Amino acid sequence: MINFFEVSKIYPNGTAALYRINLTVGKGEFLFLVGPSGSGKSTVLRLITGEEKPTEGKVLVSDLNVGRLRRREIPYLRRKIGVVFQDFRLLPNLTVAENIAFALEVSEVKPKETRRRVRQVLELVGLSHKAAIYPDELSGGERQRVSIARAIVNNPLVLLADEPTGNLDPETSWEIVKLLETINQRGTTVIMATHNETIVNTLQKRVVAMAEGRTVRDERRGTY
Amino acid sequence: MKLRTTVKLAGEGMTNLRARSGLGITAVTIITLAFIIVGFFLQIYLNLDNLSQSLAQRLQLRVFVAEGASLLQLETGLRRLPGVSGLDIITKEEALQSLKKQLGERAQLLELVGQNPLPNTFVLQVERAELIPGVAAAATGLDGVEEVVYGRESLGKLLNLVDAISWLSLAGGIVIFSATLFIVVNTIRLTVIARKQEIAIRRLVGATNSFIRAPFLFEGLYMGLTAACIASLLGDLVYRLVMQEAPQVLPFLPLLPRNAVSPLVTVALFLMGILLGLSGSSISVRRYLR
Repeated sequence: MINFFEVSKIYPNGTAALYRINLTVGKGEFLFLVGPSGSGKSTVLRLITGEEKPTEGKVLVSDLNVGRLRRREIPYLRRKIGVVFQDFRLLPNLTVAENIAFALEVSEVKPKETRRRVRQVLELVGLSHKAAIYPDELSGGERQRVSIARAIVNNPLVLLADEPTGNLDPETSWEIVKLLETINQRGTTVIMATHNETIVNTLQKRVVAMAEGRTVRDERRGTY
Repeated sequence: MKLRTTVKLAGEGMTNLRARSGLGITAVTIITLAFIIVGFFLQIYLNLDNLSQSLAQRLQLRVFVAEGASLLQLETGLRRLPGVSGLDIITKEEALQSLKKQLGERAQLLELVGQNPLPNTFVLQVERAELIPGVAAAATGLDGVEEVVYGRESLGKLLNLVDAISWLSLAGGIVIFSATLFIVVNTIRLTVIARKQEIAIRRLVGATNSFIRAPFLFEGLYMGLTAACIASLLGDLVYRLVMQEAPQVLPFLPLLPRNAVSPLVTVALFLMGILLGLSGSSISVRRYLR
């Protein structure tokens, strides 16, 4: 599903963000990426979406060699990947439903199909009753649900979550992680970069710990 | 891209323009003014060009044939010169006849000369005025040509004038195009900045570059086309008025009819508007594409 072979990433200014990373994530896995800020978690995620190219080594996402993709092939890779951020990144001038439909527009899904899929994911994230509301009127947890709905409406192979609970209180954070788990159980691979110790320790999923651009630990049913 | 998507993105371009309508109107007004100037220059240029061509047609290029040269051979040679569109021959007998006619009663004078002193002459029609000097030079080099004459001085002056106007128009056109391009780029850049977040999310969810670019291309296109539309309508209106008044004010100036000018000016302005809109918006959005 996702494979990193001896991947190094050195930014043009000389900062080494990753050093000879090897990582394999199988289909349907749930993985926590942990480690202090600047340890390289976000760089790993950006290499998967093709925002960055590896300086050395090879990144494969469902058999696509991301580093070798041509610029105009990247959008098609992105459609197989859902991404969720700490700051939600919703458009304030669009309703909840429109924000989710926004992701289907780019792949030219028919309006009828769009409505069907938006209804489906809204149900999944439990916000069917708020479809016509603007993000301003939602709580942080609800906004993150919308952003998750937008990330999965394309039925991606993998869902990347970069500190999805970073802006949320503990209780809401749990709801979000439960939601990610549900999505994972439906077959989507989930990679979540987080600082949240409690969540990692309680859930007992695979944990990859990073420090200074290296993977220092990779455990099944691990802890922070 | 599917039609439905294209229509939707075209609509977004309109929304973009409306969202900052004050700025949009200002920009379009300035561009329109610039286009009116361009259109005006085009009208003048077309008329000057026409004037020079019609004068050129009255200029005759005469080739005097040397005594004893083969007319047939020379005719073939002259017809082959690039730019020559027609050819008449005035034989020495015909020339003598017409000279006699001109002299009228004094024709007896010619008796004094004895034999016919006039040469055989080819009269050439040349496609365009600016080709005349070249044709003359080439004809001079042919075997059996004694002399080539045409209104060298007056043609030279006319060609210089047309040349100067053409270069001036070209330079002016480039300046005006750059200035309007600058306006379009900056107007659309503001929209692009206002929609940075949407662009980022679109890229995130897998939008192609053309999808991201499209609304801005349409926005630029609307600006260019609106300006072209107003400028060509106004230009046509002014030309119509000029055509009405010209016969009284400048009775000897042969102006081109409206239907020989306005369609050309309109097409040119629309092409310029399209080029301007598309290139301006591409420049504005380029930085946000990867």
